[in-house]
Amino acid sequence: MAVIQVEELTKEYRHFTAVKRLSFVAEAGKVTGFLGPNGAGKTTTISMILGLAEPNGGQALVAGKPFRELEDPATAVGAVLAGGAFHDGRSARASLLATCAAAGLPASRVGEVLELTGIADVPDRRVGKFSLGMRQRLSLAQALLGDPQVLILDEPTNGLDPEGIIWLRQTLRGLAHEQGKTIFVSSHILAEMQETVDAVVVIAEGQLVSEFGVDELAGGGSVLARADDQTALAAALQAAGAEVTASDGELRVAGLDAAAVGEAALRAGIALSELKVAEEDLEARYMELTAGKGR
Amino acid sequence: MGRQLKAEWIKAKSLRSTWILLGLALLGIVAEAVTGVVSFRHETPRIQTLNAISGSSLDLVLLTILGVMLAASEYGSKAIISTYTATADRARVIAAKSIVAALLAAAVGALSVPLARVVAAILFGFGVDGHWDAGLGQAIHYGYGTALAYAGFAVIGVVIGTVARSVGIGVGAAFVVIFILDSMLANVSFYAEYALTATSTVLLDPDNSTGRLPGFGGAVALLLIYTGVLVAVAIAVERHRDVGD
Repeated sequence: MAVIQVEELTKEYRHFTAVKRLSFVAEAGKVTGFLGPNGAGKTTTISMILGLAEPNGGQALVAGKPFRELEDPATAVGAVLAGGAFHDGRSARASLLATCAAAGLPASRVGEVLELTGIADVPDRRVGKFSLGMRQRLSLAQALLGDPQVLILDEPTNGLDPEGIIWLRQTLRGLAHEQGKTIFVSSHILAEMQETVDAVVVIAEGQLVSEFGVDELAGGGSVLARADDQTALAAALQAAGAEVTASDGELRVAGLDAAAVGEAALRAGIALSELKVAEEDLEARYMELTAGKGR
Repeated sequence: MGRQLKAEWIKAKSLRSTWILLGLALLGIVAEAVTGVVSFRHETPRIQTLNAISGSSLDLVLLTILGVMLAASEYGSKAIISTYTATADRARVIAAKSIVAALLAAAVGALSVPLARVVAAILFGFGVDGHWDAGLGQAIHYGYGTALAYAGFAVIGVVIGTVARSVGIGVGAAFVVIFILDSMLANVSFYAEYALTATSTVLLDPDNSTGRLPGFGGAVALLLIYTGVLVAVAIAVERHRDVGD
């Protein structure tokens, strides 16, 4: 079920269009990655989803409503924005207590989320004294206060140590897969995103470039095969109904799985010197999709 | 609305700058009382007393700055994002901020008369030689006027801070608009009675009869109208502005 729906969203500033007729969805029970080069319009899009910026056209809906029409936004949506959104002179506890009060949540939630995010030992330290990683954990603590069904995170891994990144990955996947929450996360760390997300939305220059599932990255079902006589192998595979393209001395075979490729080669009497499922990583796909599109 | 009031109160009380400004404002009251008692020592006890219990112009400045800071510091720190993602209705946030700022400022104003009385007691002794000549009704009248003036200016500070979104720009704008522009316009005859500075003069010092000033009731009404209109303008502006611009 689509919980975040972005439809024809457009945001124009005086001298440029930051987001142009952007449409995509993020579904419940999935971690959706939001990727794009610097200046692609990711933060502007997130701002519009969160009601912080007014679109010039289109709409962004969360659970079927614009954010500003949600009755209790903090219990519907938790947001982590890059760099955190806290007053440096206020303690972590006071910052979270204020959000609890505004959202009508019990003050006991503060201790719970500080514990959950691993910063329970510094509740009274001023946020200005926090490291970037601690600020990120505090942002996540704030986002989790209302136990919302939707989490929107902008660059949440910034400043986190490796342990924190692993913890974040496991937490986000757990929230999506075990609790059915909708997680929408932007990041530039593509290897980490590939480990974390289920679906990907790629934008560039404010427009949608691609929307796909991470499982499609496992080669999109293609197989790489190599033999001494590539021409004969290609003919045999085509005869078996496969689509074959040559690249880097290998044959990329679509339409047959690895076992079927092996059988086709055997029937043709061709010895395979290599046979493997093609693997494409998110980074390669991303670079291909966004080549020359950075601002 | 109760939730937003509680949230804004937690935010205000958790900042050191709030308490520093309130502390300075209390010192301002003491300074005003000392000045009133000492500078007018050759005047009648009644004039000494009225000067001691009249509100402080310095405090108007400090409490306007308090209002600016409560509103504008949220934008500089981006904490406003947390505020608006917890409460999407910006009108409620601005109203709650205004109420909290007004209550803090009014509390300072309400302390002005008792503090002046303490100062008079320390300087001259309680009722020993007659250097305190204000009945309870008059004391309440002065305290009420001062509390209202302080509250009104703190709310105007919130409005300016919300629109300016920067403490520096907000404080600068407050000085220019309230303490320079309005004072200059007060010299224009038709505006003199309606000037914000004239209004505050009457509320801080109800027995002041210099120049063209509104009556006490008129001053209260003017302050309520000014603050009401300005809060409405701030809400209208803020509703259509992006956060992060």
